[in-house]
Amino acid sequence: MAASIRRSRISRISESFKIAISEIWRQTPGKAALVLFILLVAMAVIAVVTITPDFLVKWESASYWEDNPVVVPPCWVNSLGYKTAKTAQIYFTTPSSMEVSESEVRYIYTYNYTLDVNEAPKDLYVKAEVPLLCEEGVFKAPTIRVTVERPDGIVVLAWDMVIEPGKTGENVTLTCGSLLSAKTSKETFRLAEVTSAIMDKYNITVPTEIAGTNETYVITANSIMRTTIRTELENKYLTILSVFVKPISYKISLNRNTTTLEVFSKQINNLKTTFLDLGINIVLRDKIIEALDYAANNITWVINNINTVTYTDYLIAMNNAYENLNNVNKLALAASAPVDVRSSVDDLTKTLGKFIEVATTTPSLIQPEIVFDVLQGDYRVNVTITYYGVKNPPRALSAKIGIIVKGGCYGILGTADKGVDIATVVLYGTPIALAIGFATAVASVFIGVIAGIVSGYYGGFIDEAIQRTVDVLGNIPLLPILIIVGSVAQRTFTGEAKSLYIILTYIGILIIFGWGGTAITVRAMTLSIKEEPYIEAAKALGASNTRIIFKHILPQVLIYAAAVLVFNVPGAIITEAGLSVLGLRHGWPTWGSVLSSARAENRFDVWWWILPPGLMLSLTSLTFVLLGLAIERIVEPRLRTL
Amino acid sequence: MSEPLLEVKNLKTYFYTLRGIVRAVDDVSFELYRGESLGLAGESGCGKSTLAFSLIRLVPPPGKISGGTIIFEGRDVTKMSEEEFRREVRWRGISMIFQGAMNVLNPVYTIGDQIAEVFMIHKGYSKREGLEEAKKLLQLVGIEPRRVKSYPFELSGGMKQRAVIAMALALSPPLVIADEPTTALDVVVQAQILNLMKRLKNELRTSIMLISHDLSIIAEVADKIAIMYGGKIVEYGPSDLVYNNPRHPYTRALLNSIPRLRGEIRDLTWIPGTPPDLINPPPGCRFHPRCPHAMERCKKEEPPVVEVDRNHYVACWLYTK
Amino acid sequence: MSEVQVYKPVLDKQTKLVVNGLKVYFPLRKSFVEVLMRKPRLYVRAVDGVSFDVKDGEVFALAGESGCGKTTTGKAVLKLVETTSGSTYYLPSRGIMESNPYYALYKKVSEYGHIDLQGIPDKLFKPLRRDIQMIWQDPYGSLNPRRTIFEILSEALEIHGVGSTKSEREDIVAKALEEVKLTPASEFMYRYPHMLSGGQRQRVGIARALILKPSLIVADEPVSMLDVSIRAEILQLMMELKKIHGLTYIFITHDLALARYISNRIAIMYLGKIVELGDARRVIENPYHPYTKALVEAIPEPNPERRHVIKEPSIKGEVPSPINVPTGCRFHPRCVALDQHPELEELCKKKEPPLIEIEPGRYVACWLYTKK
Repeated sequence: MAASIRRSRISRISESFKIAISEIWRQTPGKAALVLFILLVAMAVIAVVTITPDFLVKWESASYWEDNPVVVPPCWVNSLGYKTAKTAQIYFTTPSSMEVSESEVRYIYTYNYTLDVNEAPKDLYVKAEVPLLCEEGVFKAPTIRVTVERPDGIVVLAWDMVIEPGKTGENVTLTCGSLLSAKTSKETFRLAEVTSAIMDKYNITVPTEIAGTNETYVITANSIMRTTIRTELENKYLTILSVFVKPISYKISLNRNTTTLEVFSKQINNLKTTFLDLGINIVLRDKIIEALDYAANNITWVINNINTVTYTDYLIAMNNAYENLNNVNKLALAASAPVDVRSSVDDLTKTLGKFIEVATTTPSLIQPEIVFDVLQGDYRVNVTITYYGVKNPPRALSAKIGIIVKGGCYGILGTADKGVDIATVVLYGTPIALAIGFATAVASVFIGVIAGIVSGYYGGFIDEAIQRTVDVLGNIPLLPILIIVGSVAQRTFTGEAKSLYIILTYIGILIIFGWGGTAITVRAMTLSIKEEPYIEAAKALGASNTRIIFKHILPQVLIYAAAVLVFNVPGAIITEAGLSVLGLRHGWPTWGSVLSSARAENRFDVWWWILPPGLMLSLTSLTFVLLGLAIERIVEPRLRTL
Repeated sequence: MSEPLLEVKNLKTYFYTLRGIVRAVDDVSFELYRGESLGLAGESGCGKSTLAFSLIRLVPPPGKISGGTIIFEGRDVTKMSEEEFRREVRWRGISMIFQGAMNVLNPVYTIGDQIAEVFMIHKGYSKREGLEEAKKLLQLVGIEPRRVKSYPFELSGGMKQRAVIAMALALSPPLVIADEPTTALDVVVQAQILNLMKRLKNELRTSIMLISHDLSIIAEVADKIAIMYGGKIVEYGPSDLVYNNPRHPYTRALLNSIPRLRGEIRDLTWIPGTPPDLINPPPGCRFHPRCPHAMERCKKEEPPVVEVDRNHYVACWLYTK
Repeated sequence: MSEVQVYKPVLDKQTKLVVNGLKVYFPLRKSFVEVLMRKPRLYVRAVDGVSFDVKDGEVFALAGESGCGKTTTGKAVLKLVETTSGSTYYLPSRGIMESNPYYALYKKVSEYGHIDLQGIPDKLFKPLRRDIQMIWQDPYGSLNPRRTIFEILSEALEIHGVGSTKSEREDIVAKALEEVKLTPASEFMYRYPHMLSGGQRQRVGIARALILKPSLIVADEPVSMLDVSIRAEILQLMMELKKIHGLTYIFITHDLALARYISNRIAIMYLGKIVELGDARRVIENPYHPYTKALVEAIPEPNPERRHVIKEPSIKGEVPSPINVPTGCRFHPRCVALDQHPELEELCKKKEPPLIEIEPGRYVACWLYTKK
């Protein structure tokens, strides 16, 4: 009969825990606190389960986030009216298709990317890790060919090369199946072909009324046009991104400025005067004067017809002038003209020759202007891996092909500098924050409870000592201490566990300065419990001090301690964040470190960089404060017994 | 006789708790004339304190007056608004000396300040006038007037109790309720306090309602006795009749359980069992489980109140024809 | 002088306990200024030279107003307060001494086996705690509200290693509960104190005192916080248990009427001293000391006639502070007899009256009865 009533201690504890939870749940703030708390714990659990060991070390290096766009908002902003290109990070482990012919085998990886906003992606590249095949002792290195089919039908060849060991800068011992890796780079992209294709596709030519009819000069004019387009693309877009643009308008004009021509004309006339004054062979002199006249006439013709002249006529006239000046040069030599005169003729000739050369190679005379815009639509990226002379190609190629398009948005919380994914860091920051908070709170409450009980129960000298220690600790400003010790710690600790040691240092200081309040309250509680008649009754039974402390005082103090513990959790978390923002970083992915990097980059205007860690800090504090309030409301009547 | 000062009719004060309705005061009627004193006796938990709180309308929640009337000076105070009651009746008409009165005093004010405050609130006196009145009151209750400047910790338990009585008398209310006014006091001080109350009754013609579990204390003051059991008055009458000729078995048992100072030593008797649970009181007469005379009828039907003597009423089946 | 018999406690075979010249002073904490001014330390003289003996199997009452030192005296017997001077000789029950590992270490002060309780270390006193127990005044405060009745009662068993398994302890606890008539025991065992009535809690308090089978019980106002109607029941229970277990009670009370009913002898205390000692009925029915007289007068009686008379107790003023005890007879500032005997004034104010025998077994400390 007694056994039915008898209950084990454990079941009683679990029952009172259940009662406590349901008591908390009955209050509105308690309900909110429990929901938030479960959410936090779930985040922490997910983080702990999914975190990779190297994340803690590598998360701050740019290479870890290589494939992410840098400082872009989260993708859901698109539904708020923003227009950003989406980000694609596609890694293939199996080819989309495979073509086998007698001499070669092709593995094709295809990805379709739709660009539906008027903003070009920030980057496009392909990463490849391909195996070295071998048959009968012969190694077969593959070629890789990357093409992008644009919505306008242009196929851009982005990469076409043989991947060979050594060529990619790796030291690979040649073994069958060893992976060779490579990545598209600026050098592998053939911009010239793109430019040509664009000119062909969009009919970009220099019109006859500008170019004239001379075939050579028409070609020259178009070549200048091409160069201009290429320069434009190179300058305005990251080379590779010319894949995503199309010309929307172009204008070609002729430089109709005559200043240079007039200088030429004047100099030729000056020469003419010089020669007329020279006492040289008359026949030769007349020939020279005639040639100079021809040259002057050619230039004058251009000047006179500058508003209607074509590129062809312009250059023909200038070439004629040049030929005549060349003749003058030869005649002057024959007439043994003075050296200084001959050299001025020679100089003028060379200057004119230079003028012509510049006019035919640069857009100095013929001046194209072109405007580009983003080409929207469906793009198809094809990566083709080709092995030659492989008789038995493997069905499943152990290649890893990555097609990366860095758009203007990323993930659910966007990215920070170096492409750091804020969502990931915020998630992985959760268990660290909770660990810091709980470790500090548990340890300081633990010390506080022990100190308070010892102080209150034994009294006397030990009580004085503890209380004065609390007074001293309570009057030392915490922040300067943290800053000093923090910066010393940053310099002192080295090696892999540096971050851990720095955080432990912070926790240690917070514990040292954090137990005083609890100790004071627990001391007061102990003093009042100590005077309860049932304590004296226990003494009369022969109970030892240890027994009284553990069986009578501690259980009552613990209820209070639970509430204090919960209240203390956010303090440590926020202090850690504050120190990080102040620049005392430890290197672990915490919410504070995200804020810290925003401060370091002076990018507090980037809302998606500072709001998520900030909100997490606020929410965590809110959770524990609400939870503490709910617990306090349960213990309050007992606290009133103070 | 003239109109009674206080007439309580069928008063019901219930506590609406989660466990159920606690019928702390259940259908209680009595009356009190000017200058008369009533002793209300019963074990702890019988509802006597709740009855007192009902009279000054300070029943702590979740309790409330659920029925009946309290007619004080001809007006039904249960129908008054809280503001009206506070202004006209509480403290001016009915004041109360609370149980554990020593803790009622605020330790950081002098007793003079605390008594003067009553005048300042209710009569709009200045502080100086209030202190003058306080001195007169302290004199009345037997404390030297210079003590107005004393803080409660400077006074002994008996003096604090006197100061509390002074506060209750401040507005010369016709009725003072004293709820266990001498618990935690030593016998000598207790005797002094009881003497003070007798004197107030005689000199000021103040009606006193004295609440105690100890019938010997009540005998010192009360003209009339009401014995409460389980939220009901079981015996009610002039104290000479109730003490000398108790009728209800409960009253008899209460009187027999008091140790006497003189005379032969008989074995003390007691009332076995525990007071009833007021959420689920026993059916019939509430005392029947502890009553030595319980009959079948007592277990089923509630006894009616019968007048066994002039003004002496008993609710017991032993006295119904 | 020769016929004056100053009281001396008797130490004989029937004596359970002798308290001789017991003083308990509580030092007051000096304020900083007082330390600086090198003021002497002040003491609360709670018990100031108390002597009495308690016979085996009797009920010895210690009575007086609050602050007279009766509870402190009781606690000093249990060594719950530190004594300043004086001795307590105690005759332990045979059972306790037989199983006591420290038997040889105790200082015997009589041929009957009395032990000097003062000055023995806690370790040696612990086994004796089984023999001397206490019933507490406050049935609410003296039970830890967070522990079940079983936990409260088995604490003593755990401390003294009685019963090795939980079920053994449950049996002992059940028996103890049955003994104090809390039946069925299995129903009460796992309740919390707040689920019991005041009377039931005090029974638990009695069960706790009895569970270690003591022979001396100090009962500190065991019924003063209970309703009058159930006091007799608890007292009856205590008396029954006394008969069954052969207990000796030191009954601390302020209620003389009650003391008259249950105690054999009584000592009236005033301000740390015994002023009158003797057979309980005789002391209460015919008090000699002016203080005892005043106390008895002040006790209310259930007699409605008393409402018509106002008779102030024959005592003046208020209890002085035990820090500054009046010189001479410590009662003299309040004594009304002194007003009627002005010739004694010098003596009363200067010299402390001894506790002398004025009738066989009746002792009074008052110059009125002392032949000079």
